[in-house]
Amino acid sequence: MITNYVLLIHGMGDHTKKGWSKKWLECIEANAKLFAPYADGSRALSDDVKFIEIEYDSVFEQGYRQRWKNLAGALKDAALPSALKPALQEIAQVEDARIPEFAWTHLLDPLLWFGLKQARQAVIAQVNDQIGKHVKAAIAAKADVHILAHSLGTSVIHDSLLCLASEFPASFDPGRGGKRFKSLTTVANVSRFLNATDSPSDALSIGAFKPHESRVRPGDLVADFVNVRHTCDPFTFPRTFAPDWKTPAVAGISPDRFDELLNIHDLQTQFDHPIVARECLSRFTGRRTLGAKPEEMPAAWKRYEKRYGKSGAFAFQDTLKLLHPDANRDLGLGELARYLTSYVKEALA
Amino acid sequence: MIRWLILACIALGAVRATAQVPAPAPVAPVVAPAAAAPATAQDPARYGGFTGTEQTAIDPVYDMNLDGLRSHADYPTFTKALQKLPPKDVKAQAYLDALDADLASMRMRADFGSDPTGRQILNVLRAHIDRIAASLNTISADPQRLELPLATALGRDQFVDEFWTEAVVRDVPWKLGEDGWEVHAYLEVGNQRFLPIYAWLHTGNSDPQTSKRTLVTYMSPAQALGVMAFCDAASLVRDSVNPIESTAAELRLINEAWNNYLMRGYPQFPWENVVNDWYASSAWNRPPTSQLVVLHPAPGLLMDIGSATTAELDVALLVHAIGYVHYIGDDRAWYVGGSATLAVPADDDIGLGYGLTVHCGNTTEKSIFPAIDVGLLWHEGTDDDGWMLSLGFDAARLLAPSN
Repeated sequence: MITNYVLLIHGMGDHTKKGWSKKWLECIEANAKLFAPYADGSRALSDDVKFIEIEYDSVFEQGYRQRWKNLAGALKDAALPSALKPALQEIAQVEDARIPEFAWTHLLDPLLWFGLKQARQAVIAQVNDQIGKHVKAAIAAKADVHILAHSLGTSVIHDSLLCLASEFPASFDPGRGGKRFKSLTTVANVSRFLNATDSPSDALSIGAFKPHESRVRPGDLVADFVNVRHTCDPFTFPRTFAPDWKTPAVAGISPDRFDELLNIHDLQTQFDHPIVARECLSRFTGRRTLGAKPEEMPAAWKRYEKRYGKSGAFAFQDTLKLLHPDANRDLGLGELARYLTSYVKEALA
Repeated sequence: MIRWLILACIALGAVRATAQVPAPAPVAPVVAPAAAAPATAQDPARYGGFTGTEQTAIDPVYDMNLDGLRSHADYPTFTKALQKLPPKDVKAQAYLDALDADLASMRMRADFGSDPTGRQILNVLRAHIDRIAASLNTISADPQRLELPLATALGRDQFVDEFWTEAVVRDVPWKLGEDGWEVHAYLEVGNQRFLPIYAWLHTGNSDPQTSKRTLVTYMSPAQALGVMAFCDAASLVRDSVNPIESTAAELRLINEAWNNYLMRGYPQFPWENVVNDWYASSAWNRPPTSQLVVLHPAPGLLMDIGSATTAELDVALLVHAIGYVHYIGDDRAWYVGGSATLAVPADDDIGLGYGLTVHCGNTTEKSIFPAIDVGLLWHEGTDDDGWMLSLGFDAARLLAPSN
């Protein structure tokens, strides 16, 4: 009987089609095969864990992106809100044919999530609808519920859990008899970077949505919290998520190796780190001693080193220097413009 | 503006993923993660009064997941009374009595009643159950409390029922990547009544590849099994009174209402999205009921209603300069509204028209009711003036491929 449900929360980009998590699952299953009881094939990960895709990209896609894209094409961007124009103009200056598509599939997601109150609220409603459905199934199956979120999804799940607990305490606030999520794993956490500026909830003030102070923490809305942050991932440098909660697991795991710089931000690059894989899988499967056999971790490290030959370097040093002396501060407009320009230059170097 | 630029940084990071960049020379990260040392509240070697023992061989009990735990032969003996509770509508007092009864059964076992560690476990559980009983007393006096539903009690501030879920504890001076202890325990970790099950003792973490983890246990495998089973059964009882079915139905309705408003409601051009984001009151569980129409262009047809003998239709660009749409129903399934409209006919002789347009539509996914934009416009043509009827087709809706 499957007693662990893992809800997968995607990041930015096109995730509207069912099966978007294929690459994630291939990576997670490959890592599970490094450890008993999955190594010898006597047991499959799917015997213990049910992975469930949570999708919110359709809100961006159907509510905004497709209509805006078509309209922008028709009107040559003249019809877009003025607030979007500087970002789009920056993109337009980059001479790479792949970039316009990226602008629409990737740029707009965080822009809408961060910039439009209604988009944020609709995404939360969409995510919470799916969470409600799957938690209902998990309770019927007497299963624990875990969450694995990546990039933009870390900000989405943060707000969604707070909204659920405040509006439906009997179901989702553990202090009121609600279900406590067994674990939350965030990879490339940008929840502070994309922090809400207006509360999406009638029941909570905006202060409740600050990730370092919020109830989305171990021992409250979730039992356990694992944070994974690649040391070279530039997405996580401004306003880094690094809470001081005095709980060991949240202190974070920091992979430092990669194959291509382009892949640093990917969930797979970070999940393949042996300690990340062991810590996540031991939680997802409920097997406390997963990875404890003496030969398992050395083999996992060997695989990791072979697959990820580069480490300790990143291409964004000039850009990141612009965040000195404090990446947590609010950057001025001029500083941000320089950061942006430097970013583009380094990306094309 | 600053916010938008910040977001552009993120987006350009995604753009970055498409470009090929040669590997640069190694440098130190510019920003180091925060790493404040937590205060030590407990000695992990004697956590919560329990003494840890290093294990050279790992007992299968510690590798059991929930499925293994619940199918273990001894699981029913630790959870008999809790499992006998009705599947729904559990009373708070019955829950308390079941906890009491299973604790009493546990006491009868030699692993608990005759063993110092076992008795210590019982004492912690006893204190926990007593605290639940005391809190129940504060919210309901006899005899009413016999009928108080557990779900109601759990919803009250005064009722205290704590952490039945295993978790990594706080206030141990260790974090991943450092030498130290990772203690896993049951029960509320903040009230000084812990049931530590096991810990990992991490050594040599300055080099993660050669670091070592040693399993440390605080109770015998039989005792650990008992604690895990007891806590799991208590947790399942709490889950059984969770009103998740009605919650899920409500969440379904909220999402449907948002979809009806945002994806199938009166369509919004980007500038209208921005205006309504500012104008319309909403929350994640309360989609807007109102919407402004602002400079909303749409192709349309005009019919001269002053002439009873001809029914000629003329193509025109309709611009709904300003208007208001109201949504009806919890699911925002209908909208109705009106706009001040300007008509620019393709035929210059008809002249500019102006007047009012009524908007009406059904937003549900399978609706066959068409969105209607009908207007009554006054036009001042080259040859004559008069009233015209306008019929609008919404361009913004046409631009959304899902429609």
